[in-house]
Amino acid sequence: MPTNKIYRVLALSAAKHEYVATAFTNHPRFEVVGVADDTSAESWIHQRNEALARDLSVPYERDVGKAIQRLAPDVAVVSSEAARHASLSIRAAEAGLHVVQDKPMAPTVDDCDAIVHAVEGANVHFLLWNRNTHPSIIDARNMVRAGEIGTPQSVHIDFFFSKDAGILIDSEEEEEIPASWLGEGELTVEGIYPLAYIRYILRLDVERVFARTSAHFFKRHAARGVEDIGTVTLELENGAIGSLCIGRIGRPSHPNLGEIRIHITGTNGAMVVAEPKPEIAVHARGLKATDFRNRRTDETTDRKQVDHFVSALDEGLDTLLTAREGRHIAAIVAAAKTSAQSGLATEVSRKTHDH
Amino acid sequence: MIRLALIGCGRNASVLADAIDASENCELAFAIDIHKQAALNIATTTHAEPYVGDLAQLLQQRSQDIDAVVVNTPNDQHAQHASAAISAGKHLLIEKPLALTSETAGRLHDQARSSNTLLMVAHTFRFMPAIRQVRRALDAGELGRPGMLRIHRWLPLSTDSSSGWENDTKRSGGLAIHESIHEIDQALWLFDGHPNQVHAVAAPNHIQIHLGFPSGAMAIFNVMAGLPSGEGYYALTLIGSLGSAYADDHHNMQLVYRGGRPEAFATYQHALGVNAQIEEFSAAITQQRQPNPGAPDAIAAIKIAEATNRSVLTGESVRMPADDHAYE
Repeated sequence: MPTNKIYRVLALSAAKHEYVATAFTNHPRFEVVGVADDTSAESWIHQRNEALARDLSVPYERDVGKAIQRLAPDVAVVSSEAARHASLSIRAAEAGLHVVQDKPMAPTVDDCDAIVHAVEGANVHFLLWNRNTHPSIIDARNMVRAGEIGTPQSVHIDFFFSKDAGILIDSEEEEEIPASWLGEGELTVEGIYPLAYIRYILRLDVERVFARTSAHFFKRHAARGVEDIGTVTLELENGAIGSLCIGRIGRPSHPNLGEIRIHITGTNGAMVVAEPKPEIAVHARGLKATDFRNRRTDETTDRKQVDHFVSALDEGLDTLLTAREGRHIAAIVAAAKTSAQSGLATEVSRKTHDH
Repeated sequence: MIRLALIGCGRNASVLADAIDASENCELAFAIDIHKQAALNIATTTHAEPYVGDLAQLLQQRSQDIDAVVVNTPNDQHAQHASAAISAGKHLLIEKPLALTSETAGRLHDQARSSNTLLMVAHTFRFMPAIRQVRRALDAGELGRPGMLRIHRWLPLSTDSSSGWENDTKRSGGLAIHESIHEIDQALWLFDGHPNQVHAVAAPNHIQIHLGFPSGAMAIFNVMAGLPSGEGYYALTLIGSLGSAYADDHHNMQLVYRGGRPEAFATYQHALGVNAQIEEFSAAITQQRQPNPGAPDAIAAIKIAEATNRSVLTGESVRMPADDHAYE
């Protein structure tokens, strides 16, 4: 039943990103009431949290339990380092808060299972932040659902982001890896987005994968033994097949954020969907080498995600990406990493373990 | 002037004939087919002599009028026609795949070597203007070390009666041998090496191949031969350590508005690629050097296509030999 309740939001850490919490600041149905984190968080994290609290003109509390008690929030927005996602999200859920959580869901599938268990046990809503509200993704979903290309038979996603991460492998320069760089592979961190497209557009689960990964560009990825590019073969339900190419490919590789495209084939046709479109191109004197030339025109994607979340809360519906769905995506990524290490095709763990 | 005999006047023949016609170094002397009308169609537009019948017979009767043979017959006839041309001492440009199996392809290679004839295989994508630009950027060092090759290629389901054999796996070799051999060849060419691992999956009219290279580089491509009709689609992305190249219909399509949804069409590249391929063949003959791509590259591509089929069948990846000589 729709209500006009204003949901109180507590940001639990902004170690990773501020944008998840700030997406709630201008929404009439939400009020961000504070930022909180564990006392034991590293000092650079406290600094970020304090900066966010200042920007939002809300208090910063270095004790999660106390903040929940004192500020009486309805929703927790978790954007800590991935290693603390499960801990923060579980505590929030067990305190009866709905949870909006940044990617990746958690470093291990066991951690994801624990989140699922906590969220479902507490009967609260969980949203894993995603990109499914881009207009192109919504259009693609609607066209596929309308049967315009028949029954989907394959899906192939290119998900490249043209950003740098420190010094190139081929460079003779050395770098001191900053503490804020968390040393996670790009498939681990970013894989959620393309895999969530598959879930959202096709409603098909991935059952088996084969993957190759490499630290091809950046010294810090090689130093930590994590991937900056990867390719994954996907075997899906109903005999469908797919693939994912993903990577942090360096700023000079693209005039925009990077190629993000979805190729879908069906029994009656096929479609190519560019996630960033519609976009406009800006080429001008004074732009820096790091400025993007191609810019998206839709500024409402985060807003749509928050709109959807509030509808889910009001009407008791599923969120755009539930804990169970997020857990399955984490299991796909985990299977891909296992495959990349072993050189063997690997089954995706489907069973959510009880905790 | 190099005098060519073209056998197989069905699918793709007019593009080949036009390319030969456009060349300053070649002329089409004979258009050969078992179907009279097909031979006449090509002969009429090129001033070639039509010949209805067997290649070996023609080579016996008119050998002095032919310098080289272009084989454009169905895949299951490649070995027979290639062997006839080589036996007659004629240089050979043959449509891909060189043969349906690597074993047969190896025999043709041996036969060509021992009779000192030049053998070129029409892995035409190497000659496409866009792909050549990618290779140039790579050669110039603009892209750094190649790390990932991604290709999507979709084409319409063959419904033309003259190319019905393409839908018969026994005659065409199946999607891996018949179509994805193009993508395999592009990967070998752009990475300048052979993969050490092949993994593949398939769906109806669809194959997806995943290659791993000893350097850590990877290639993944999907080929779908089931579009309802009309034009195909092609997109290549090559990602290197210093930059990326995109040779891509999605960027290069032109738009037409005729009511309803806009239609997109790709400016035709294929003919330019075939023209460049004919020029390479004629240059190799004139300069008495091995053409590029020759039999070794074609055999390597077939071996990887065979590994692809094994992977699809077993559901497991196939380890490939680390030694490049194993591909010869």
